[in-house]
Amino acid sequence: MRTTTQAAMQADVERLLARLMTDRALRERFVADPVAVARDSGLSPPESEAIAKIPVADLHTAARSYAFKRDAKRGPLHPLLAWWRARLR
Amino acid sequence: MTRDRVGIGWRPELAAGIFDALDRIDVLEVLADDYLGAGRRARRALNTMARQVPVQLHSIALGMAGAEAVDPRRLDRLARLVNDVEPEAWSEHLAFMRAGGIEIGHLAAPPRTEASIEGAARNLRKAADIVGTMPAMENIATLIEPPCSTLGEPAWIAGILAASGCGLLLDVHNLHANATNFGFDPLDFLARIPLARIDCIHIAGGSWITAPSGDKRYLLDDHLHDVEQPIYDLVAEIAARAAQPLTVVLERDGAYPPMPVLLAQLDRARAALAIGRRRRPAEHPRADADDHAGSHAGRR
Repeated sequence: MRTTTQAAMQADVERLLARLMTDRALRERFVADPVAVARDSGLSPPESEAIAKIPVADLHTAARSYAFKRDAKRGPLHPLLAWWRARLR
Repeated sequence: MTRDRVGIGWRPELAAGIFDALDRIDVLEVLADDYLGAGRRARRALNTMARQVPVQLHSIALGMAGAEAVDPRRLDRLARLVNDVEPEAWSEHLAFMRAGGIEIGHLAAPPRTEASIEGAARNLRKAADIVGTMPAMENIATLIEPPCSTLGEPAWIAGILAASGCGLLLDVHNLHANATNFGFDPLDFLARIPLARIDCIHIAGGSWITAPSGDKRYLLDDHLHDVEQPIYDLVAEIAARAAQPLTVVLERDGAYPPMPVLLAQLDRARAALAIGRRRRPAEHPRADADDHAGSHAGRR
């Protein structure tokens, strides 16, 4: 029973982390009100409190690192597109 | 008894240098994801290479420790590659790569719980069924402590090894980076995992990055820099504590230096193994040798 609950929690947490690592607008909303974003994403109150404790610096640095990895897999960008992406990031 | 080995990650940019130095390279590790869509000729070339020097396949994108069941189509493609190349072993990561239809683009750490241990073990059993052999599983570097975890990383890794019977690919730079960024002692980490289950060790270099806010620094596992002394020290420590033969593989993914620089890093890894082995008899009796023999029985 406990692991069933944990498995559902794991799926919820991974979904939110995946969105936070790929969606800048959601990340900014999360930084402003992490518990509200977590609750809106279907996490329980204790899960929301736990995910709200992720340090903001860790969140932004990880998101930037994943964005670099995704860009590297896509290959070199046109310089103008690269400049625009950097501004968005 | 099989001896300790030292090898390097196969990269096309390093091909000429690697072939020139095969007398100093015991094993090659090939990134499986680079060849999943490769044609017959490329696969035949890998198979030919695997007949000349031991080759291990290293897979990245299966997401074996995620909440979502690993995609059998991805496993089928990997199984065909393993069948064509005939590597001596293959490996994957203790990570998730995607969730809810979103591709993160790289390895991410899931919550460390009993449930994620069970899920990873299920995925590993399915992988072993489809591919034919159980992979060794690698600890990852993370910049975020996975939220909602109920277990520390050593207990979580040990749990997955126990539940699945898989071996451990211990990435020493990932361990060093996590220890640096989250402030724990890597030697304490080593004391808490079953070292007898290590099949292979990764070494690499990294670099310091600063958070966008400018208020925090992180050691990034980027595979773009030379291996630093703390990594060799950890290799020596493992060689001192573990009885089984060890394979150390240098990972380098870009900013390639001249081949002699990489070969010098292989030499230092070999020296670190020798230093650890010399320390072993006096400081660490053979308590874990039997454990290692038992742990690999019936692995599949």
